[in-house]
Amino acid sequence: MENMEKAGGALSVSVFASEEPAVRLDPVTGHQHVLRLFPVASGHVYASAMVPAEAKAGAVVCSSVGADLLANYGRERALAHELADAGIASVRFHYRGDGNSSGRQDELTFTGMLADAHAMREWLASICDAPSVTWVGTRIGGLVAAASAQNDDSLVLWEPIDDLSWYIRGGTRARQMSSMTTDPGPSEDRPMGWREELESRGFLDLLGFRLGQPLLDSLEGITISGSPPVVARVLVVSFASRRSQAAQVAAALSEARMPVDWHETALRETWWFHDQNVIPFGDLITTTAAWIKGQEVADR
Amino acid sequence: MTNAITEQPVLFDGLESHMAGVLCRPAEPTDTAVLICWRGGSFPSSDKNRMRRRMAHEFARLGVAALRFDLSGVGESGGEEVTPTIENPDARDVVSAAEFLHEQGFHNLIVVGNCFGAWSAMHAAPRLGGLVGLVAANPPVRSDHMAAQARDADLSWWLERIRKIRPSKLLDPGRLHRARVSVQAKASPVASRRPNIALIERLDYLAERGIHVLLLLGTGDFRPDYDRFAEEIAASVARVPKPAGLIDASERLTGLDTVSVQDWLIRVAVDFVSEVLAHHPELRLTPPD
Repeated sequence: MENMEKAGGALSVSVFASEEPAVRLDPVTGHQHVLRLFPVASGHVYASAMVPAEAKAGAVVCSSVGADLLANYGRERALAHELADAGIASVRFHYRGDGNSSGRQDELTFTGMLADAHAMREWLASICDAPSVTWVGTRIGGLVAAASAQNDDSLVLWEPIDDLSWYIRGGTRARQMSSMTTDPGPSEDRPMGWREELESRGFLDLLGFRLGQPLLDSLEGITISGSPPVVARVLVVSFASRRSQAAQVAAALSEARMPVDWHETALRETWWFHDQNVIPFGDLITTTAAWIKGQEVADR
Repeated sequence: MTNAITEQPVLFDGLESHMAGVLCRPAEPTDTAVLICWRGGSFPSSDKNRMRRRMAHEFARLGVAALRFDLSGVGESGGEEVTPTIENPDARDVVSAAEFLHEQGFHNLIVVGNCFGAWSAMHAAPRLGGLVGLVAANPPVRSDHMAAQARDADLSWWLERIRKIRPSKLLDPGRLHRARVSVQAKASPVASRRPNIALIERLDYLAERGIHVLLLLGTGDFRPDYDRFAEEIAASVARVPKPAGLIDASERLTGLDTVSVQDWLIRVAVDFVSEVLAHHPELRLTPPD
């Protein structure tokens, strides 16, 4: 499998993906951990599956991007373990143009994220043949999960982002707060608005995380509340943050007559500021896994 | 230069659990590999803005395989994530990754590390077979982040932390430990004397064994110590066999966005590895087992 990329400088390199997966059987739990570069139309997706000995159901986890990825990665991995303990297989992945997947950064778009999620659904189907799955979307990944879930699927949304502007505002506000502690003094220049900055630079640098214009352009106008998914049931998890769109999303789904469960975790999360300390899980993992397991039991 | 590289996800044994990484190979690898040791919170091996992935590709283009890996409890690796300290860094993880490379037929090793990733590799150096060179970007000098912050913090920093003290926090052993380390750092009179400088001890160890070192000093928590011990650090690097170097990059990188800083660091690291390879032509001759 070949995928042409720029590597640092101006020259292109051909990045080939090894077809050989890395597999480890946990001697204690009996779960199989599989890492592979899953082939997709224009490259490969770095994907991780946690598969219990007898998988009865499955889940696809759609991560967020940027700083959120750091905040939630360990939590998503812990969820995979918890689900495997409950007999549920799960797949997690890096979007093309991000993480260890192939592609240039400008290939990271909402359309590509959906295509990658669809590819992961296919992989999950080859691991466990349950007719429906649970889609787990975290922050911006909630947009991907909500757009991917259908019919008898279940949907879990961790602190979902309902629209791009709100997400960017959070990031630019955090950046302003950060600059107050590091800048030598007030600048004469008027700070650029994020759209202006995007226009002039082609990307946004939010506290060291570069978000490309193709991604931001592709997310414009995408909301969960504007086009609620039609699924079997939804769990919305809200973090203990003052600024959240979780309630707005839950209300819109209820209004669309979706059965919605609500959980407010005591975890505090600033989303944009992370230090060297270990990120806590609180009750997030056990609550989410128990809910998914409950859906699987109800299905049977 | 090669422009065809292969990526392969790998799982290997760590001390307490399995560890995950991505091995990037050039079309015609030799038995020399670069081990990328990074620390920076809980990032998976691709890193912020995929820096480690970009770096691995550049090394592969140079004709050298590169392994980027997840520390224990981070990314796809198993086990518990632990915040490293100056006495107890992630050295065991670095050794596990180096042993994996050795099993894959890579008998010569060049480490490129950042912050506590670099420090962990320096700590692990006596157990890294075939270590030829090391790039250390922004390593700690004598204490971890918390102590370094506390030592040079002003009164408002301390008042803010005292204001946030809650009885429940004092029951948390981790927080209690960090508070003790902070107070000790501030109260310690060592700043006025020549203290036991861990970084210099490690540099001297590497110099004695003929291991090439490039030391990059930037901004951040350890900057005051870089300035405080500038002469000692420079003297120590001067004892390292050539090619070796010390680059104080704090002014050079001011005002650059993160990706530009990362690009600069990648270029400097690749240039240094290239120099080491040129200095040891034998490293470019033998294919892996």
